[in-house]
Amino acid sequence: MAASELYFQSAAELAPLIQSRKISPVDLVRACLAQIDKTNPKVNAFLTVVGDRAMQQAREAEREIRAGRYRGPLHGIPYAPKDICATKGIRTTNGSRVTADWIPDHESTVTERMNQAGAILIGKLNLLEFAMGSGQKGLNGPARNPWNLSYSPSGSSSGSGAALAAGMVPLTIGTDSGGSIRGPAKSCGVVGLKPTYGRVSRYGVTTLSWSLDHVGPLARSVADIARILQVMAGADPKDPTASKAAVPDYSKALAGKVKGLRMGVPSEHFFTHVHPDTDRALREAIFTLKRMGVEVVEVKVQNAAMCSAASAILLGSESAAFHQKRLKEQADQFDPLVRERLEAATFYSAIDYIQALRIRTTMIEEMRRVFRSCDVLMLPAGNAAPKLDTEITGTDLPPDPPPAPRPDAVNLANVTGIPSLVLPCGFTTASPTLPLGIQFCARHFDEATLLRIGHAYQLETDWHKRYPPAMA
Amino acid sequence: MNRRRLLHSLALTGSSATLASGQSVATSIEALRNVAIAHGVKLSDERLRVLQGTLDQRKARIQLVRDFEIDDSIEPTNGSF
Repeated sequence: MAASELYFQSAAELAPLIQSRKISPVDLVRACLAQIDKTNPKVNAFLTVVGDRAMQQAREAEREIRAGRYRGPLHGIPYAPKDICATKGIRTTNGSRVTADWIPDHESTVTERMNQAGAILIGKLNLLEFAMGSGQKGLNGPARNPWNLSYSPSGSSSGSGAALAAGMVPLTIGTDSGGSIRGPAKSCGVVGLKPTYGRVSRYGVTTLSWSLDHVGPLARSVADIARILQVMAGADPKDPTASKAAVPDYSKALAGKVKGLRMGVPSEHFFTHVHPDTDRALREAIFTLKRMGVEVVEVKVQNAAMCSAASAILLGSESAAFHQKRLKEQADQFDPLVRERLEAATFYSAIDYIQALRIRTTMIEEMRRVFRSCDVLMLPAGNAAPKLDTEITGTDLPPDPPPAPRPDAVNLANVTGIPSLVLPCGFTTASPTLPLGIQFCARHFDEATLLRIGHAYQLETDWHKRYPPAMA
Repeated sequence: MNRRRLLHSLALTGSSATLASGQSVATSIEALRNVAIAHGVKLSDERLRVLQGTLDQRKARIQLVRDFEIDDSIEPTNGSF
């Protein structure tokens, strides 16, 4: 098989080829490295590439598979984590000059589990500094959207989305405290899952906000998400917030039918300022799902507007606390906008913070109420990718900004901890051609229902199989 | 800075904040400086001027949290579900 045919294959398509030895992990890694060489100078998805190490791991994987020791569907599959996940002996920058030369002496649980499953680490991916939602200058400049290099892949897991869309690697890992997996998934036309809070260990992942941080997978298909989640999920003695809830067999969820599944669609609030292209794509997706037997139920999420407000205070306060020492000693090393956000949190009070936590309790109970009348909630994932501004001065809000979609559609899942999946559902009509995404949320620890509806939708559509022609 | 001025400054950025109440008066640099000192944070006047704009943009959102009525029985979440 030609290397170029491998670039945009999903892990689910590659795994049987590897297991049956039709392709070798060595050839696969070599193809990924070639694609990185070709496209990364333009896309800037990777901050660090560990080519020699990856080739060595690929040769080991090849030997193991030839000897009959196939570890499972991730064996021999290349992947890359956001450069906020500690990788022992490999530079982990957090996208910041503050930690530009940090070489961890420990491995994050999520990459350790990927490595044990036989997946091959190719390198570390670009991100917005310390996973904050600002700071495009960061360490090495921003990642760019492979669909149009003048556009952002969204962040903060910008490299995680861009590397997939550019065919550099079939699996990536990101983090999501306020949409940072789901935004890049939507903007890059790939699939991203923010799991239930505590479903995936956060050990070894640099903190942005203890209350809102989630680690999760990005991939080209929902089937791949199921495979990678199976490896990542589960209790971890190194992370007391990692849940001991049983990890189901996510591959079984892929075979589930969706006829009769109740999909809640909110009647108000979340669809304000949704672009006509997004509105059209979402309506078409709802039509497709109804044709598949999904029942659409109108729901209302009360106090939805509180999510982004509470999130701002929680994230601001916790990130400021985490970086307190660095801010005192290395303030000038931070991106100006990141520094501004951290310092601004100085002026939130303890009462503000506690009230935000009480709002969180209120919203968790509200979502329990909503999910009594539906099995999955459909929300917009945002409009198409924004233009990438390389010069942002002053504050990170431009004067007189155009109305933006409700951030609560994204923050809801972080504040309440419910799992949320974003997958591609169309493209913009006007130039440039940019992907559009749809978001599904489910009850706590019910990733299986998300995978079921997402996979069923992808069997009926082919949005997830498209890739930027310029990257081929 | 005496106790009276400190409490006045804290009131400006606390739950009864003039700034956060949505009124057009921005919190003064002096008030922000006093709050920062009370919180043990050193910020230059240049930094305070930048943050004055940032806080001004966020005041509506912060006020949503401050105004939200919550039943006494609702406790802060401990993050378990």
